[in-house]
Amino acid sequence: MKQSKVSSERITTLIIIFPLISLLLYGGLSHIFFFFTQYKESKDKLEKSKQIHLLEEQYNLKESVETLEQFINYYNNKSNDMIKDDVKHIVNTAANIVNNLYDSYKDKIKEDKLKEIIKNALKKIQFERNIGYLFLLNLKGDALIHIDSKIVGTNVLNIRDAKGKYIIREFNKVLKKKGEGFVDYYWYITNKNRKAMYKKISFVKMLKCYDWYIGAGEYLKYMKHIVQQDILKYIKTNSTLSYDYFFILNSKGEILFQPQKHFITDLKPYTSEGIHISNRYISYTKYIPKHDWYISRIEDLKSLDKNLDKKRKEIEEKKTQNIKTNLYLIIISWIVSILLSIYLSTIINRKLRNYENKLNETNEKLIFQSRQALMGELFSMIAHQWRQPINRIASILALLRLRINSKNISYIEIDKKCHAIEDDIEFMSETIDDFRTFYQPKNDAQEVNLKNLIIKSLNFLEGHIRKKNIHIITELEDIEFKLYHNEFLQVMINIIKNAIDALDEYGKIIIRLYKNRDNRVVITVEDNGSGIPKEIISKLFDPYFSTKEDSMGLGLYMTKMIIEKHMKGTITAENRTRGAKFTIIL
Amino acid sequence: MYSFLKDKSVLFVEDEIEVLKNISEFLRHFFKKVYIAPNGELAYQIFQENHIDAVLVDIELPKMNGIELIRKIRKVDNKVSVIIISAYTKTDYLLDSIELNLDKYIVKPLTSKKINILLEKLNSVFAHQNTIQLINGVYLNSDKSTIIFDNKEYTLTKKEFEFISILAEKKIITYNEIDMLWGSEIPTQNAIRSFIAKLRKKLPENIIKNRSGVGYFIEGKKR
Repeated sequence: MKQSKVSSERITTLIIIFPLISLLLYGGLSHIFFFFTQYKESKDKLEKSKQIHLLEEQYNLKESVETLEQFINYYNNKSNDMIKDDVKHIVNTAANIVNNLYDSYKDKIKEDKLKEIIKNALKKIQFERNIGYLFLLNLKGDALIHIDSKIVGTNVLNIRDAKGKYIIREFNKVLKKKGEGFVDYYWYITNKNRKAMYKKISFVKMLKCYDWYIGAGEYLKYMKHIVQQDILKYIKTNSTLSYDYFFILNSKGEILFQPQKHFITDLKPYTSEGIHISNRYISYTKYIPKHDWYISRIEDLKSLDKNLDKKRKEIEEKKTQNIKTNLYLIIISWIVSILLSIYLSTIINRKLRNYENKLNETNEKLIFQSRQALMGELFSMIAHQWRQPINRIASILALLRLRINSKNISYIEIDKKCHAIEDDIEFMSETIDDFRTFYQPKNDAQEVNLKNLIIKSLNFLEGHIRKKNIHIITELEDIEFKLYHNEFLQVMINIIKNAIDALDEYGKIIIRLYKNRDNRVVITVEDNGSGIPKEIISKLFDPYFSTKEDSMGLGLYMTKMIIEKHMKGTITAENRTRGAKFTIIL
Repeated sequence: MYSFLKDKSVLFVEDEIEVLKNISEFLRHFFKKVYIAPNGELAYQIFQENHIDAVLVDIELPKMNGIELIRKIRKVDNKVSVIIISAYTKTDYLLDSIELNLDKYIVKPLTSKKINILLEKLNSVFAHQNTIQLINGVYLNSDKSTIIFDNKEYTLTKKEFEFISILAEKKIITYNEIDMLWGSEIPTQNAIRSFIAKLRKKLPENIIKNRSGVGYFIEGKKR
């Protein structure tokens, strides 16, 4: 019983520990795995985001550069119109002045005089912007006012431009059609002994007076310079655009524009188109051929790293968050499983205990039942024992009657015979008393003389012993011991009967009762039979194990159970050189 | 009482000494000689060394049990009367008791009533040893040349015995055959009459009848 309790407790602890260990192992390993995957993932993420960021940056750079380019192109287009507007404005202003003069003075002053006044006035007109110059011609092609004094007073009707166009005739055509209009043409400019052809645009307008018209022209080349100045000015002054990192270079590597603060020393890479990535900078460069400009936007990678740091922090935070969450989940699952396994183990424990209790009950019943089964045998034992005195009594009485009938008896003899009969009846009564006490299911444990009990058990077995002519040798000390005497009787009857059954006729059984050195009671039952067969010695005390046909196989099992459970003792069986030996230690 | 036992010897085998003592004393009242043995081996020895007419034996015996003992006895003597006296009921040894040719099986304890049944049985067994039944209840013992009926035995003379013997074999005894009983001398009519009168006293009344001119016959005889 003790053993089974221990093992059941061990089972319940195992139930708690085993899943816990496996869960701990699993949780730990999975967490480590999770940690590494998170680590790798965050690293990958960072790398990826870095790349994305770089691409983004490249895209941003390209976009902003292209935006600037668009702006420049737009400004370029606009500048053509501006030139035209400027020229037209000059001419219109001058024409207004001349017309006003003429209207004011045509009736007051003589024609020649008025012509001089108008000419002088025109010569004096200064414009805010120094674009080109005013010229005054009549429709015959006579140059009345011109910046080139050599031309004044000559007829320029047949002057041709660099491409052979009759410029003045073209003027006249436009004027005759609409009274005003633009004409463009090409002209040579000698600059440092080099003659070059440039496009020029002119606006001409008829005046009210005479057949005069005025005009103004400008080389587009000069305008371009102005436009460039305008663009640069615009870029510089426009604060809404963060152009801090814009550079504009021409193909010679001259810096046309640069941010106020910068640490870039080597500008060479920025005179070729496309994306440049160095250790520190990333840039995008676009060439605008019209202006011979390389527009670049350069970004410091450090600022990129700053952004990346932010991102890294984010990723790191998320990683630690994930790991923490995982850890929490594992801990929670641990706790839950601990609680569950504790709950489960208590349930199993309770079940086991119930089962044990039930088993104990059944064992209790079994002991009683086995005793009742033994009762059947006891009955035959008693019948055996009774047979003797009954036969004796019958024979005495038969003889008595014979003697009385033949009147051949004395009173002394009759008394003697009656005495013998009484002795036998006394013996029978004792036997039946033993039988009755043995039948009682439970009595309290009490101090009993073991020697007497062993003798009593031998008395019970008298019939069997006599039938087989077994020689019983007893070496019994007087020992008092507290126990249930019926159970002790049952044990002794079982063991001695087992020995008798194992013996042939005239066998020998030695029963000893003594105290050993540890002051424990020892009972040995030895026979000189053939011993216990090797193959059954291990099963000897198993329930329902029997070599006898008419036995349930409960006898020795019950014996062991009673000794171990009720007497807290042990029983062992062994083979001697001749026969078997059972040893009980209480 | 039990007249046929008086000249018989019996062997009583019982391991319970007290019973052996008491019952053997009882038996001594009826038998010529009572041998006792507490075990099978000794019993067989006594049986071999002495003339025994009946064996009373218990089954449970030390050294050699009753059944074995009887089996051994039967090997050498098929005639001796054997009675088992045992605590076991007869059915336990039914097959054996048939094989062993038992005369009786008595279950212990041996009360006076059971002993009387036993003695009666033995008496009747001995009575009918070497006897011929003439008619119901009337026996002729050729061994002792006696007539037995109503538990009484009547000793016959030589001539009477021969007369009855012829009647036991044949339906009728002729005058010629009667004459031959007397050997060379021829009996007178009176001598024959007085012979028949004497014989009739030893037999139940009116069983010997005369057929005039032929001879005598026994009435009620089947054949």
